[in-house]
Amino acid sequence: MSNTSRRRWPLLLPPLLWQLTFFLLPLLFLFVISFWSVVNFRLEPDMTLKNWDFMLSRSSFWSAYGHTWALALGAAAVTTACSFPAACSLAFTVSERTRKLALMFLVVPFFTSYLVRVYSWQAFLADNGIVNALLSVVGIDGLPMLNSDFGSLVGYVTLALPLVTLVQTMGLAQIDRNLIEAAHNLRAGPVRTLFEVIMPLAKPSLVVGALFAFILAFGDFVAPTYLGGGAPPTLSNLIIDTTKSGQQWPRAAVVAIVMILTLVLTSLAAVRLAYGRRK
Amino acid sequence: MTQALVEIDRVSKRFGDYTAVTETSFSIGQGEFLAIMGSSGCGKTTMLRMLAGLEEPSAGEIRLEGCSQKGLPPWRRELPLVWQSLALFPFLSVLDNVGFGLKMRGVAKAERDRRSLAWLHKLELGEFASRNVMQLSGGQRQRVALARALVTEPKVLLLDEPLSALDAHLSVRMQALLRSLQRELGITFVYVTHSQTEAFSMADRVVIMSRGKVEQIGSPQAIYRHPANRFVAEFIGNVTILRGSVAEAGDQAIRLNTATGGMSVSRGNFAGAHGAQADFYVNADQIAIGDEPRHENHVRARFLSHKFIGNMVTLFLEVPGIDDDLKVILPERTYDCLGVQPGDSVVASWPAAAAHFFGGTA
Repeated sequence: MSNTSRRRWPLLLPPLLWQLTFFLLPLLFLFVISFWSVVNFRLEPDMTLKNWDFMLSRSSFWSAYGHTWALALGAAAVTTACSFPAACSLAFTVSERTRKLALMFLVVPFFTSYLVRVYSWQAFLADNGIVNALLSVVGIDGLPMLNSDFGSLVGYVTLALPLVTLVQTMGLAQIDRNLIEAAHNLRAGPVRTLFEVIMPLAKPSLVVGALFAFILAFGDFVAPTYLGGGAPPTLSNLIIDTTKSGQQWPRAAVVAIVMILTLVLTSLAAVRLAYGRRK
Repeated sequence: MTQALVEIDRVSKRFGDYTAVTETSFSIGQGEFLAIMGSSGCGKTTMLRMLAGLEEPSAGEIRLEGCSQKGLPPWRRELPLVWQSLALFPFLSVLDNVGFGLKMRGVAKAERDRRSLAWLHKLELGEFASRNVMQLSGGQRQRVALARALVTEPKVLLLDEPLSALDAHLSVRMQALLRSLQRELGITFVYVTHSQTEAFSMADRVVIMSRGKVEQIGSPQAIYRHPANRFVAEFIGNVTILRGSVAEAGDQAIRLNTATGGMSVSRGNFAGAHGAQADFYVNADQIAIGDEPRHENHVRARFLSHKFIGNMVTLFLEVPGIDDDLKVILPERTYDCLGVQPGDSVVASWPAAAAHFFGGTA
């Protein structure tokens, strides 16, 4: 260790302690209680695999797992697709001043609570809500939107869209304009330039943006509960149900650990895809 | 001159309030190596970008083989550019970088790989075809950029300061390569640079630009010997500019009174009247140094300093009555034989044929 880094390491202490106390230790605790027992609705230290066996052998767990995967993947795809055109125009067509202003406005939704934003969607998506009222004007009646996967997706996009747009815009804005001009100079029109040059160059930000959307959706409890109706359940719904019914914290811990492992592996795969070595 | 391939006709380019290029006209011949030279901000790169279609002229028009390029987007033009930053695609292999232009033209993969590989071999890059461009050295990348632009066999190749990032010896080798390629292929090269060495060593003709305007167009020799005006003279830097009033007009030479005494200057087509003030310049490599005057024009001067450029030495002399230093360029051996030291008093002399009026020999 060099002299300067030795002198500076105390600066790292606060975040290190924070992570240790509020992330690593609870995680360890989560792991430990997944082997505990519940006797008469009370947690008892134990060393048993029956929670793991109980959860992983049930098809309802695996269907919730599949459902969560599908919804999170859908959220990543829809959010990425919705963000990309906006990010492109922010990165390439507007002045830097306008871009900074727009990026600031992207943060504004975070000023209000996510729960409030999701609740307000209920007014739009309910069977007799605003969207259906407007649709009935043109003769379309009663589209079921609330309490469906569509509802969940709307919630996920609400959560992730600003962040994904931000990530994509920053990634696209960093692209060397000379490369785009070089593509034009070599007779690539706007559309071919988008697919042959801009998309490959923007790949890291596209993948990282999609990963953010996936992570946010995978663990989200608000959207699948209040817009998705909680049925079929996602893993977050499952955790709530498990803890509410009979104080089954150890079983909930199993679900949580599976979720964490899934996100870690997905993130590693995504980072590899985004920044993977080229030959 | 050969038939004009590219015509630049009263072209101007404005960016808001800023005028980058003002009413510029010149033409470029088939198979010509034309260098556009000037310091940064002179409009040379804007001119090149207008040729490539990356900027649209605010006024005037550019014609390629007589066809107006007005409103034609860059991807419909056949004017590949070699970028100062090279602009190679980092996500593609060397081979795919070279083949990009062919791919955009719908050339099938096998055919474009064959043609790309042929160019890579020609530029001694064959073994690197499957590598990533980021793994190559600066000089190798330079040649990849060149291959990428030439693989489509264009009529005109545009080059934007392509050698500015290379070290000196590599730059000299690339200059030789560019020149021989240009001769061999018979392609027109339009080469933008701020380097006099590059422009003068490669180009058939040089365009000197300053503040959006053309100051002079001519062969390197013509520009070197006969700068059209004070700007070019100072930019090339191989002459000393003096000023005097016309005292006597002869057939071959004009006699002027200057701050350092009477001087004879080649007449050329100078038409100044008796008593008129006139600027003239003295070629630095035609001045003799010694203890005695050897030519009809002579001044006593103090040797201030010198610098070596290759095997030539530039001497800076202080002459009473002249603001600028008198520049003298001597072969190194001549300089060594003189044995002068900074601070020594010397006599600088030159014939009337070494002194000219601006624009006097058009």
